[in-house]
Amino acid sequence: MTRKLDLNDIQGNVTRAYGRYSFPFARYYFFHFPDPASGRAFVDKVRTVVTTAARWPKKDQKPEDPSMVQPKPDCTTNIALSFTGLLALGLPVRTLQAFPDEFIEGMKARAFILGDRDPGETERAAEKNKWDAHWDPIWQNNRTSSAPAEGDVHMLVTLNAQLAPDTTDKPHPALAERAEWLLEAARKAGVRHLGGIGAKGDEDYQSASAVFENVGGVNLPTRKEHFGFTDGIGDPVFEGQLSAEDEAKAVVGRGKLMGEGWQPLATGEFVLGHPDESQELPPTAPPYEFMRNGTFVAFRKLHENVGTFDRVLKEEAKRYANVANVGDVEAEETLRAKMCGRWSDGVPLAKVPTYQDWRAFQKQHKFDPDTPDLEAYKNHDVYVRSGEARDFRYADDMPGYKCPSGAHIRRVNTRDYLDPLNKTGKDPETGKPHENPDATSALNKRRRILRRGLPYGPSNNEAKDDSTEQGVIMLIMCASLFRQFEFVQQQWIQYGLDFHQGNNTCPLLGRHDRHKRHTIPENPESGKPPYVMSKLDTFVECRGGDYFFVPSMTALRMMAMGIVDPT
Amino acid sequence: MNVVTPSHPRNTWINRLLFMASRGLPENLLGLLGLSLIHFARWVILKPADWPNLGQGKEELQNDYVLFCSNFNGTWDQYIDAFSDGIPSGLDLFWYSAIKYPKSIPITPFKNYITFNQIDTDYYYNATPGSAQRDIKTSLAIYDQVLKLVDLHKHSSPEEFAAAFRKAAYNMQIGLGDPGFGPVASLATEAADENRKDYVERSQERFQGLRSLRKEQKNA
Repeated sequence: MTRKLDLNDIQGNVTRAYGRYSFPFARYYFFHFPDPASGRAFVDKVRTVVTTAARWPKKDQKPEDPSMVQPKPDCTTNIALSFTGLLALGLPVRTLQAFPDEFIEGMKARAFILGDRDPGETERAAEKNKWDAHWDPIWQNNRTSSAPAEGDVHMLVTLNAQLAPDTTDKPHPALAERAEWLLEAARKAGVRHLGGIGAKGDEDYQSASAVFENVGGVNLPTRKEHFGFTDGIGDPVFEGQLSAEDEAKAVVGRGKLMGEGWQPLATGEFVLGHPDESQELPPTAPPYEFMRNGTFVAFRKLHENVGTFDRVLKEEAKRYANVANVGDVEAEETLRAKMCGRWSDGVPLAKVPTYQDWRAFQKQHKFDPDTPDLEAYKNHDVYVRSGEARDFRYADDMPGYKCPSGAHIRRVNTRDYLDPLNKTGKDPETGKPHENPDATSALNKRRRILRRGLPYGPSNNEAKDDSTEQGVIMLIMCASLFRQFEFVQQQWIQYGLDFHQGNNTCPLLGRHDRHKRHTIPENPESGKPPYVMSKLDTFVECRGGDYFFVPSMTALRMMAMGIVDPT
Repeated sequence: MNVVTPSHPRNTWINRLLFMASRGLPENLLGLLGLSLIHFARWVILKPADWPNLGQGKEELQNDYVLFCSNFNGTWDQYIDAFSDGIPSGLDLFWYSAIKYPKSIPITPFKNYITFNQIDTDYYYNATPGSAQRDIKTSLAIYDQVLKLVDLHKHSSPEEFAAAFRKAAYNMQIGLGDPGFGPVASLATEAADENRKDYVERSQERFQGLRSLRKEQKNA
């Protein structure tokens, strides 16, 4: 039985990754409350336009429950508050002190755990060396002391927009209108709008958009990030998020494997006030309705060093081509795939393991280079949305012959790889690796995160290097930043023990100032030797961000009215 | 981690039986062995008469006790999370006769039960700092392969050696990651380590002074 949620109370970005629902543009605005009254007045104004999780009507379909359906907006609006923001709103101590430690400390204080500063250096040394000098000024000035400070970021407002009518690469005018309205509302309420965004600090908001590409003479939004990988395919599905009919399809490859096929994850892993995978309600701050239907989000600006990535990949591909005796194109494509776990178009290595298989697969699905661009674009979109791109597991590939154990997607969503009953080594009967068809997602289902962000930076038609501004704005949502996001970041991205990688970090997202290797195991039957990439450099670096609380509509109203009362 | 839990003497035999069964049929322990963050885990049943008298007088005990002792990689929370998530029914069997044991799911009562019954470790000796159980196993496997290759190198032809090297590479590819220390639990741990350093260095200096003094006295 699917859990029924009060979708009118939950913010819309919790249930929807807008980018995948035809909203390829976003703007992120940040505000500071000089005093509780102005903060409350601003929240009271903005909450009236917040986009909820109410379902949008589908074409030619009658809604199951009309009260749960809202027309699809041209531009969405959502709110989140940092701990310093809640403090500035004057919330009661009893409520504030029941928030989780990591949220109270904020993302900057957790940089060491997240690998955002060099873990080989102590905090004192790092402070002296100004470890965050490369962060955007807004984030350098945020939380400069444990006491309230002028530069503290209190509130995040996210706007997401559809395409303008009859265009393929322009945001809907509703985006600029809503932005103007927002700044006017802040001015009237007496709330300070914070700039200082971008490497030079000369931007007033963080913009983001899908990476556009010229497809058959037209600029179209793609699913790519700036290294060229297809992104955002395997976002988790939880109970109550989708209608029963949508859930059945969407859950394939995006839920958990617990012996009965793919099941949605427990709601409480992502929405507070509901049972989680440990069959209990996540701890929340009083009063009861204040945190219920809310969640947490980590806002992270992840810069991508495209120049370094391309250079390292070229160098490694040259050596790999020689060792594996393959052509340059195959070498480069294979290394990319073996770093990520998917081919650049999103086809998973777990299902399509070799370069030849992949080329044949593209042809069969008609998104190969010989298919006309626009047709290939459409076919590719259909494939990436399908369960086929997500329905795979790792327990049948314990040695990582198909998808290396240290590859990016195998680290961040381990699926059934960590089932304690999985065995390494060979099955003496078959002489092949053990397969364990009954493996479950037991050690993965409490570590999942929702990704609600978009890339930022130029389109693929423009030149990029390390110094140009491009990357991904990650909005990571989960009920416990500590148990879910921070664990994945620290133990799986910035460390490798669970994957037999020693201290080697994620080949794409990890720090590579000390650990530069990534092992690509090879099946002895292939005749090729294993290959160790050994020249990795840090390709992705954080440029700032913070942890925010995403309140329900009820909680927003309580805060706006100043009636949060835990007694 | 050391946890001491009371068990009603009427029921302890059930746990004794369960431990015997798992020793006799080690397949039943595969789930536990598969949790590779655990280095060692041991359960011991203590009868009231087993408690040592170190001069404190004879203990008046009404219950049997189970002593659970384990060594693991990672933080306390990560360890209990993996226990509860990975082998919940196995844990419930091992603590079957424990008084007021809440079962391993949901996790908060389970974590509370352990918190209330554990004895903090004041001192921990690590013979292999920077290497977890998994690192050691793979390193030993690689060491064996390298020794074989060294031996072969003395008397094989280049072609033979190349073929053997490739075969060895297949066997070694599971463990080619960099060695090093695991991530630290928190900034507090890092700060404590750094702050402790001065004290450790000072006491080392004092020991050094005492040692040389004793040496001088001996020589004199």
